[in-house]
Amino acid sequence: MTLRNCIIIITIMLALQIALAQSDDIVFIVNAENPAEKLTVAEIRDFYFKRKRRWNSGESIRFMDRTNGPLREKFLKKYINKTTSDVELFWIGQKLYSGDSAPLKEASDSTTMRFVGSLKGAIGYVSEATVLRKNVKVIKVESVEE
Amino acid sequence: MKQTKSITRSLTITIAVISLLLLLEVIGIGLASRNTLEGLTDLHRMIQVINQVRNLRQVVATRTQFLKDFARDNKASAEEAVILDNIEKQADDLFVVCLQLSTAHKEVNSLIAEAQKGLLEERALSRKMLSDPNSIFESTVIDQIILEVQDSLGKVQLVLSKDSDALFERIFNSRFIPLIVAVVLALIFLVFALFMGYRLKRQIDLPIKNLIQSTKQLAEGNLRARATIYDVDEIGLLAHAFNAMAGTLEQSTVSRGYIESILESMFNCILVLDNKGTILTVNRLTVQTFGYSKTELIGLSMKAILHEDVELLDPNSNIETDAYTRSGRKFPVLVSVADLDEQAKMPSNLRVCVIQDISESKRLESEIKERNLALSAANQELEAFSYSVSHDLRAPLRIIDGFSQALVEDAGDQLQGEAKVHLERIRAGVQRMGQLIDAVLNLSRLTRAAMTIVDLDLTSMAKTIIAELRGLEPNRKAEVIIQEGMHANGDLVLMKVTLENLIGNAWKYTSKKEVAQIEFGQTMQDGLEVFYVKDNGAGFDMNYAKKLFTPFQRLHTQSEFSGTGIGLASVKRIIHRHAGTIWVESVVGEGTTFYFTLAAAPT
Repeated sequence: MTLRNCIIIITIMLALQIALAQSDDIVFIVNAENPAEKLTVAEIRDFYFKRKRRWNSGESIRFMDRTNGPLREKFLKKYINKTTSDVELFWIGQKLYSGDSAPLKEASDSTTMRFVGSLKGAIGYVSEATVLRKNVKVIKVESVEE
Repeated sequence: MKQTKSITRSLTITIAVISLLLLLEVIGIGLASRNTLEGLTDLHRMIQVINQVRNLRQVVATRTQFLKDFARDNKASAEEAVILDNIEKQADDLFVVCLQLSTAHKEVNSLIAEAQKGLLEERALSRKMLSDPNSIFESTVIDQIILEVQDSLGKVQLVLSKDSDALFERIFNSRFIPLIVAVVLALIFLVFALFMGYRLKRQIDLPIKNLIQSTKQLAEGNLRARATIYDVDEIGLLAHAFNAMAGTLEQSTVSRGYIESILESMFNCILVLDNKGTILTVNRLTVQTFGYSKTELIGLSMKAILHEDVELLDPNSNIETDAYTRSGRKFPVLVSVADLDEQAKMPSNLRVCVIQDISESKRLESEIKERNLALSAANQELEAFSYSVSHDLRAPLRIIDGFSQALVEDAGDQLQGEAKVHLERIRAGVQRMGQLIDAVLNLSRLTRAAMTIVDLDLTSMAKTIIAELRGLEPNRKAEVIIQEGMHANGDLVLMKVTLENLIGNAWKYTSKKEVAQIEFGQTMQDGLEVFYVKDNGAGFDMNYAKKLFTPFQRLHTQSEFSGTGIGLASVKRIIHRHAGTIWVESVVGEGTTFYFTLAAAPT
């Protein structure tokens, strides 16, 4: 990694942070070929914790998490209803007792979108403000628990 | 009916039961360890799968690393492709092995299959991404799929670890079961074996002890000892054989009590002596006879009671000697000594002395001697008397005879009528009396005459007699058969008298037959040489046979056959003096046969 790249990444991250700070909302994106239209919060939770592994179409569900940051915190708080450390502990436990690893984490919206665009069953979440690529689509989450 | 038992059968049963128990034990241990063994096999397979899965994970991780490294330039070179192929081939092989090993475990199998599927998917993707210049190598996608594969394999490891833990736990918990089963079965086996052994011991022990007891008793001399038969088995048969043997022994052997009772009941004094002549045992009669008590007698020397020295006595012979009672009375005895060892066939140095009190028989003997002496004296007197009487009678008879003869010569013509006949009758009577007296004298002479026994030619003697008889009566027709070569021991004079009498009788009593048949021969009767004189004469009634040999007993009148009636009496005496016997068989009118034997030994 060149210093330039680092600087770019840091800049982007800072920019994102600023952007996230401005916009709190997140959206869930899936591959454009995914026929699913909407999800419930419970489903999101099941997907995240790998309790549910396949879409109705039969495709493997591949959840892409995000590295720690405001976006993830918001996701955890809003949809998973757990703190970061709780989630970490949960995955350590899962790794030990069921063999499941935590979902991969991506740092940026763009890499997340690339991942989701490459795999049919992939699902991820990005900032609402991000401009979506053509091979991903937003999937609507029905109701957010209050 | 009781079934025949046998120790061999019992033994066989015992061995069979013990063998069966051993077999059961082996089967039991096998069953008990089967679970453990199967579990161990499963465990082994699980551990193999775990190891292979670990290897697989390693290979997958390594491959992913290579893949990422090679994919830096978003394109795989030929070299890189070969390395990838090698690694992938290794991974494929491992998958095959894992799938094979885990066929029994469905969960694990499906997880591995899923991992394999994931890996193939990833491979396809990565190949596509590497080979297609239009697509970009998305390492996150690869990461995602590899993560899933690794998760699946990790789950396999987890499941297998958990299962193997449980299995191991089970095996560990049941590790003592085979041992416990073995010990318990061994204990049961031991109890059974002990029981069978005890049964066998009981079956053998009691009868054997009983048999030993009986044998000991028999050895001690109790011939009535018998073994109890407990069962019809080999020992029972042995006991039966023992009883049979004891029975035979009792019959064939005399017990001590039996011998003692024989000794006690004997009418002779029995003493058992040692080699120095000391008395060891006596019977009751010895005590009674000698007047000592039994304890006094035992230990006493034979010299104290017997005149003769026992040491010098010839064994197995009877010696007459004197014995002394306790009071000193002397009495005659018959002593015989025998060595016991000869009888019992064992070296004992013991002797048996038998003493018979013969004072009574001695007394009787002397009495008989005295009586015999008196008798012979009387006999001699009698014979002397009869001789002298006969002799003295002859003198007056000769006077009567002589003077009656003179009377006939002198005055015979003067006698009238009957007187002359009367005188003739007197003369005849006198002559007859003279004959009788001569006969009596002859008889007494025969009785007293000394005998000289020599070998006699009876045939020639008989021929001489017949010739004399034929000379006297040449006109008689007589067929005489005299067997040739007859010899006997006897006194010449006496036997001549005998034959003269017997053949003369035959001659005489056949006189009325037209042709007389006289036979003198020898035959065998009851193993004895018997001579016979047979005729076809007048014969007589056998009822009077006894009278025949008595002096002056006649079965025929003087007018029928002349004779003195003394001949056969003389014959009988002579035959008796030759230690022979004489008897007669006769049928009236058909003839008579005289038989006689001679047993005189030559002097």
